[in-house]
Amino acid sequence: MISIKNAGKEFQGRWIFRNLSLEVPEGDSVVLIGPSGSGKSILLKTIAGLIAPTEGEIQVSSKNVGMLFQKNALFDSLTVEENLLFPLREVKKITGPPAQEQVTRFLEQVGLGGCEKLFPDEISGGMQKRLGIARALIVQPEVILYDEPTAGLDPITSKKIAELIRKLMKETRSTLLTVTNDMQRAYQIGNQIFLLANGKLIPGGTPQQVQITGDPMIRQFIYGLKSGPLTGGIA
Amino acid sequence: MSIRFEQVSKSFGSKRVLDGVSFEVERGEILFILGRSGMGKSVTLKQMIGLLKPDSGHIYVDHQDVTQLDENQLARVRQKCGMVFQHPALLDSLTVYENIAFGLKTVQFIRSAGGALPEEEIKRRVIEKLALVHLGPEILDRLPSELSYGMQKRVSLARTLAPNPSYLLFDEPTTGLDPITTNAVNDLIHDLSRKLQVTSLVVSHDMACALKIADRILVLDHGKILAHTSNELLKLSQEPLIQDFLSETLALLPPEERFDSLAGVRQ
Repeated sequence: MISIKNAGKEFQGRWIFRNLSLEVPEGDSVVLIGPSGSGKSILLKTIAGLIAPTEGEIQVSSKNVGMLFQKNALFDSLTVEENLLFPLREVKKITGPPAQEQVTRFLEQVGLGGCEKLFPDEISGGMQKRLGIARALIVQPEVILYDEPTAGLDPITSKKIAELIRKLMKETRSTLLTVTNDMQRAYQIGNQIFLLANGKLIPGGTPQQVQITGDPMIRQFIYGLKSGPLTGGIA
Repeated sequence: MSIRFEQVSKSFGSKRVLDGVSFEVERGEILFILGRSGMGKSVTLKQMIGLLKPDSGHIYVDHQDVTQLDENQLARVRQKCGMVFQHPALLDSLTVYENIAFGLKTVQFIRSAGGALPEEEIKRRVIEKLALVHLGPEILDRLPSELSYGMQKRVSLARTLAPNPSYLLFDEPTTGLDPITTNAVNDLIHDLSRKLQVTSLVVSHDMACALKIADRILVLDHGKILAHTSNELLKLSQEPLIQDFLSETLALLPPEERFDSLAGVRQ
């Protein structure tokens, strides 16, 4: 469960967002969409406890929070498998053959089987993203924050990753909050979709509801329309 | 015909990324190169400007085989081919003006232009290229960090346009962008290509963008060409991979546009 009450974040006199409230019930999946720079990543980081909000209250029901960062944040000097063995050892205190077995299983699940001994710079961008996901999930977190989980992946791999995210969510009954610009994945991953724009959170409803919405801001965003309330001038 | 790939093969270790690939690009066309991750799309672009060398085969740019050129000769090819990478990659400590003017002050450019350009000419060109990407001279003194991501992308495009290349190579121009910015960048690529009469190659995952502006689409899969055809004909393809790509794009269109645009695609 994630509970956000009247959260606000200010940087150097500028409010990124203010009076933001959002409830993500246990086991639910909420997707946040919105223009670049609207504060979606910052909101995720305040939930993860990496940034402190300027005002408001944020409560997360579990300490076991996994996060997938926008740029993966992989350890460049560690191999693919070492990147996964690290959190297993540090967070779960699992080492040796059981750790190795889990690593192999997770790599297979994200389609990186056989890449154990490679370094991040030896695999493609899409593969690095999948490694980032494996690393976030290998500690089996109860609350998972995904910051652009399919950015840079082709549509077919994106779909598979989103399926994986959904499958793992059902198996572990975890709570998900996902930020994405990829509307296809938003519909696939989210039970509820919210638009964060101009410092405000606008509820869009379910994937079905959002696609037939009458709200002009949401409509403009999800269909990428040139003119509308979101664009005063040039994107 | 301005670019020709002839039996080009490239492997990385045991991974065969391009397997005897042959195709031609027509002068002035917008060609989208689509395919799954790791299927050789970016490798194709990089080989054109000699950043990578194929294991076998030839690549002709304006009748010159780039696989046989030395660094000096390649420098001239790189002048002709403006490459736009996915991320803006502007130089942080330089202003917008200095970033765009940068390519006009290199030794290679000066050599190929027969001498250094006077500063007024450089300024004129910088403002002209900014206008092409719908930005005004009021941002000339700003630093990249003072611009939005969308504006940075436009400035980096202006930078690529400054030396007047005859080819534009885009490596995933809209990847990771929100739907509004994606369409704005996509439209810009189309407008520029037509206005400047350049040949544009766009490596992308985005079938919707391709269907909107491409003249032809090349689909790579497992090292081979799965399709190389116009948008209209591609929609009729029975290849499962292409059908998958196509049906994915349906949900991105407003409901009223869906049925017409992709009639013939199984729902």
